[in-house]
This record gives sequence, structure tokens and C-alpha cells, in this order.
Amino acid sequence: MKHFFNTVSLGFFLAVRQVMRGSKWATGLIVFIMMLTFLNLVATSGFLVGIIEGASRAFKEQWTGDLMITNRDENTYIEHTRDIESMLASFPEIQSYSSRVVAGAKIEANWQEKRKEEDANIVSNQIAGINPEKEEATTHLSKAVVQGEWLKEGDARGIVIGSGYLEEYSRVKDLVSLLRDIQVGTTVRVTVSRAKVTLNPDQEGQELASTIDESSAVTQDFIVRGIIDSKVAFVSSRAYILDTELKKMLGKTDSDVSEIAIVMNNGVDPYVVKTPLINNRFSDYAKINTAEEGAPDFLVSIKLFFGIIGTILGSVSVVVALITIFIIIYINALTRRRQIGIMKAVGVTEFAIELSYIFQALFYVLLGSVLALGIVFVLLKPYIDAHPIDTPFATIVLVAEPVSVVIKFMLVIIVSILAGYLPARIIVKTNTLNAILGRNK
Amino acid sequence: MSMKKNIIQAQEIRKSFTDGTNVTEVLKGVDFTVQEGEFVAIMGRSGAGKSTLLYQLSLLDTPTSGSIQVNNKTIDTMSDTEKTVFRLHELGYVFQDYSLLPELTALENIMVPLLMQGVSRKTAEKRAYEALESVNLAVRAGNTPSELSGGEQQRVSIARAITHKPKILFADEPTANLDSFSSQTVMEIFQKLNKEDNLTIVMVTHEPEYGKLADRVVRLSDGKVVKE
Repeated sequence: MKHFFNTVSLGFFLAVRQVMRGSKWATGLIVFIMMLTFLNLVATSGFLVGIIEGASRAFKEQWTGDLMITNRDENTYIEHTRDIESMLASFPEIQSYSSRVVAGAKIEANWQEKRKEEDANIVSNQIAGINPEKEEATTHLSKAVVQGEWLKEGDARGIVIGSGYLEEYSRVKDLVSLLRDIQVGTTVRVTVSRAKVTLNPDQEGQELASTIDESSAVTQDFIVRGIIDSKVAFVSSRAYILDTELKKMLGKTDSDVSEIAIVMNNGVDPYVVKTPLINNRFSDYAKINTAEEGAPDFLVSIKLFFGIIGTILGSVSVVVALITIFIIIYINALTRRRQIGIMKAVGVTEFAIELSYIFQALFYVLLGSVLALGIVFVLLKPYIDAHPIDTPFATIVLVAEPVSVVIKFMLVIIVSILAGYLPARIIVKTNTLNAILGRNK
Repeated sequence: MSMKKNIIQAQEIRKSFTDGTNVTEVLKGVDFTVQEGEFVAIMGRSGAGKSTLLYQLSLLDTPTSGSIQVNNKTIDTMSDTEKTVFRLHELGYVFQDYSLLPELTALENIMVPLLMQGVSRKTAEKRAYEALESVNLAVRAGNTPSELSGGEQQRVSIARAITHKPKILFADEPTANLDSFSSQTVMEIFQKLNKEDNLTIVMVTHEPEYGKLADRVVRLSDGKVVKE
């Protein structure tokens, strides 16, 4: 054991001096390369996961909140909504919640100018009846308003239309029929049915509205107050009016709603609310899901897919790191081949020499990785968090979870030990005399 | 006169090098003996096999055939690791071109074998410093090899070779790259080590004046011992 510690101690002694007294430029360059390698390992997968994280975050912020209660499949509305809301009001951990009544609707514009069926400027989708103040406190949807303004309390004639209704904002306008010439101030005609309609987030609004029974149809005109455009398709494919108005149109006299989005106080686990709700058997009347549990299937699938891609890219990065360190240490050892021979001649064991190269590899990797971590956590992440990258499908953030970063860090350390040892081994096993005399045998 | 024991015994040493189909025999059956405390000079013309013989005797190379015993140990069957450990404890080397580690100071170069032996850092420093003092170079302890003259580097090399108290010191043309003053200094150190510390020295040299300082001169010619 003493011999082992002597060997480790001498390996460290040699490594420190080789690094300290070697070329500062070469050391700087190697550390810089290691920094880029680790940055690539953390940032590439971080941005990849960040695409989905951005989408998930937007989904949570603008749609579900931390916890979402929705109607069961067999019901149109959440039964015992009043009892649920009473219980929600008793939780100090809840920052805000918004109850929504959702129905299928047809929205028509320019009906006065319609001469024949082909002139129809009409589209079917979902309409949500909301309390504007509560919705704003919960999902801050006013931030997504791109024209006009968000609904105001008591504005019974106002409607905010999602960009998913509008041809102007559509990326698939040649494929589907959407509303044309809608501006703030335009009057639109909304038709809903008092027929019983089952609503699920996954269902298409068109299918819902197509079930409207004309005999029970209720029509009312609204004035467009604003247009809302969100990367969350569910938000953009709805129109929003006051809940009181939609209930009137639907002939609803009870207080049951279709969905309740709940936002917890910062850092509070949504299970603080979910568990008591389930314990009170409210799950018999509604689905109660956290944002993660309630994420749509496509988001879960994409997350899984990007996770696989991230793993593949991460693995490639690790292999690149391995090869980079291998080449650096190999060249380093090769240029010191004669000195390695001299050390062996004076009695330094091969293991001590190999350890000196492993320590050097660890030094380069540790310093490079620490610098990369500094760049990620001090510069890149705070900047990207403050200025997320805006793309048509999601707002991309940089995801760098400490646990994941620590795992990558440990992985790189293991890789650097291997990549430091192998090239040193190749050079060290050279015949001592050949190494000293510079003979290539 | 007391009977001294043989510290090196080499019998019928042969060494050949193969280059493709060409086989060159450099040592052609050398018998060689060195007694404990003896100062032996190996001389001969260039290409006679002097350095090759030294490498075989000092465990830096393995003979093609023949048997070598050093300090009562048969080295023919030793593994590379065993040879390294043996060199660490029993042998010291002085090379023609000094062979110091460029990133280490003079003191640190001397400390390396001591640290490998398990001597503590503090003791290694003390002993390395004493070794430097013994070659009158303590003042240059903190200098790296590039900051030392050839003669100074060779003295550091000698200090490194003796600091761990080896049984035998091997020197391969230690004065070949030095001016006459530095060469004289090196040889004085060798004589002092041999006479005062009873250190066995085997030195390859092509300079007759330094060969004369040895107890015995072994002459090689065409891979054979021709005269002792």
C-alpha cells in the first residue's frame, strides 16, 4: 500500500511540474479545447432538451398551470365544481386559478356580404368562457395578445380570437378554411349549441362544432377586442369571451365548468393540492393532473425522441472528448518519449509515469470543464433565460439541470482517466533504451 | 589483502541487432567481471561495442544470449518491472548527454529516485540538497537544466545517480560533451566517490587520460574483450 501511495505521490509530483513548467500557450490551448468539448457536451443537449422544455413551459404557463382539473370523458363538465373551487380557495399554497367553460362554436364574419355558400367566411373551433382577471392572473394570456387588447371584466360584447382561427396567421391556410379579414373592431357571429358535447384537450374543435344541432343553436354577435397568438396550439385555437356570456348562450344555470387551471406559489409541489383533492374523492368527478402528467401525447413523444437524440449527441460528444484527450496526451507523451525512458532508467515505475499523464489529463479536463460550467451557469444560462430564443414552434431555453451536468462531469472525468492512461501506456511500454536513444523500435 | 567479491559477473554475453534480413552482432561473447569497490573503464574504438556492453550490464537492455549477475542477482530472468525496481535501489546512471528532466529543477531531478523509493518529500529535498553540495552545485538547486551549463548538468546528473546510495554507478562517456575543465571536475568526483565511498564505477570512455584514472581498463574491439 505504501508503494502505491509513493507511486501516486510521484505521479502527481511529475504531473504538476510538467503542467506548471510546460508551455503556457500549449496548456492554455489544451484547456480551451477541453472547455469547448465540455461546453458542447452540456450546451448541445441542453438546447435540444430546451426546445421541448420551452414548449412544455409555455404549455404549463399558458394552458394548464401547475395543476389542471378537467371533465371526465363521460361528462361535459366537472361535476361538483363549486365544491372543488371552495376547497381550492382554502389552500394558501395556491397563487391563482382560472375556471373555464369550453364549448364547440362556429364563428362567422362578413355574413352580411355573403351571396352564395362559397363566400362564407366561417370556421368552427372551440370557444372558452373565462373570467378575464382570473385567467390573466393564472396564465397571463394578455402577453400573447398581438393585436388589440385582452378581455375586460364586464365586457359582455367582447371576444378575443385565437390566431388559429385566422387565415392571416395560418401556416396551412391552403389546406384549411379559416376566417379572413378579421381586425380589432370586426363584428363576428358566434353560434353554439345547447346540445351536450364532450370536450377533451386532444379533440379537434372542428369535430366538436360539427356536432352542433342547428335546432338548438344559439347565435350572438361579438366585437373582436383582440387577437391572441401563442406557440401553444390549444391557446391559439380558441376564442375567448366572458364565462357569464357563454353560460347564457349554453343555457347553463349551474356553476360547473370544463377545466380549472391552477398555479401554485413559487416552488410549491402541486401534489400539495392534488393529493387532498383525490383524498376527497374529487377524482371521481374530474381528471386531476399536474402539468407534466397532463402534457399532450405529442409533447411526450417529442420529448422522448429529443431525449434519444440528446443521448446520441451526448455519446458522440463523450467519444469526441475521449479522442481529443487521447490525442493530446499521446502527442504530449510522444514528445517526452526520451524523458520517459530516462525516468524508467533511474527507477521510476511505468505506473508512476502513467499516473503523471492521467493527472495531467484530469487537470486539463477539470480546468476546462470548470471554465465551461462557468460559461454555462454564469453567462449562457442567465442570458438565455432572460432572452429565450424565439422560434415558430417554441421558445427555446437552455436546460442545464445540475444533476445531469454532474453526471456528465463524472463521465468526462472517467473518460479523461481512460484517455490519459491509454496513450501513456502505449509510449511507456516502449523499450527503455530505445526511448532514451530515440530508436523507433 | 582482503578478497573482494565480484559485484558484476557477465559470461559469454552476445548482442545482435536485426534490421530486416541483416543481423549485426555487436557483442561476440564477452566475459566481464567487476569487483565491489572497483573503478573500471571500458575503452575501445567507436563501434567496438562499449556502450552496448554497458547497457547490458546496467539492465537497460537485454543480451541476445549469455548470463549476467549483478550484486549476486541473476538478471536474465527478471521482468521489466523487477529490473526497474532493481535499478532504483542498486544502480545509478550518468549519461553522455546528462539526461535530466527539463521541467524539473536540479533539486527536483535528484529527488525523483528518492521519492520513488518512498522517501518523504522533506527528507528527499534534504538528501538531494546534500547530493548537490557534494558536487559543489547547491547554489544551482532551483535552476532548471536549460539554465545550467553542460558541466553543471553533468554534475546534477551525477548527484541524481548517487543520492539513493546505489551499489554500482554506470557512466556512459560522461565527459564526451564537456570542456576539459568540466571533464576534470567530473572525473575528480568519480574518483572521490570511488575512493571515499567505495562506490563501484563502470565507465565507458574513449579518452585515455580518464581511462588511466580507473583501477582497471577493459579494452573492446569488434565486440570482444581484447585486453584487460
